[in-house]
Amino acid sequence: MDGAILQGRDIYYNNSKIYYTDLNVIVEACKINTSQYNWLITQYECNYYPTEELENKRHDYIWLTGKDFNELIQNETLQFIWGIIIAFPLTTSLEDVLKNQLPTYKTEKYFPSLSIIEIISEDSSFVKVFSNQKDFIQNFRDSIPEARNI
Amino acid sequence: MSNHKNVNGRSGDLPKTSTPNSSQDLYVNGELWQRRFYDSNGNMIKDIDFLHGNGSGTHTFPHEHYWEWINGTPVRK
Repeated sequence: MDGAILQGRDIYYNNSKIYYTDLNVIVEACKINTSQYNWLITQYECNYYPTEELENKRHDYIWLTGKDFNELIQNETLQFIWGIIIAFPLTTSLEDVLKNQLPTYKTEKYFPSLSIIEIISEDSSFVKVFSNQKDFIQNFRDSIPEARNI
Repeated sequence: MSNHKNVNGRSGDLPKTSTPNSSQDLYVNGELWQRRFYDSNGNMIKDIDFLHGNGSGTHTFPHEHYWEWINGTPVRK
């Protein structure tokens, strides 16, 4: 998988300073059509929780359709301070994913044969993005010059 | 420390608002993980992280984070 990391205090996207981690910015920078995938979000902590379900499952995981994922990340100023966010093809079911251990921060590149893109946000300090689709990583680096290869 | 209290819980359990000019310590399984400070309005303004249970192991401790309130929503810097 190709990968990139975004780290630092003064990060700009479209001439605006961004904070860790606005998922809307990350997926937009990657130019990924989020509605075409299912999304696993696990081990997360947000600056606030738009829904009770999101708050209650923060130590576990949530599984979202592309539509629900889009609705979630459209919340202005929603920040995933911590979070492992992974997109899967619509043909991959939650049951398929749960045949594996849920991701933790101790490792990375969790589902190289299943995932479309993997986004890791850690302590509002840095974001890593991994994908087998080189275009997503290249788009990320092109959109946010401070991003570098890993 | 005046206006200070200790909380036992899990990561992320400290409240966003509390008594004005106060602080809280989060203990997870008996270990101090985080200290949070609240401003004169009772809004969280600063965290000191002493430990993370998760993470890639690349962090140094303790370290600080600051909160900025934008239109009533806290954003962690």
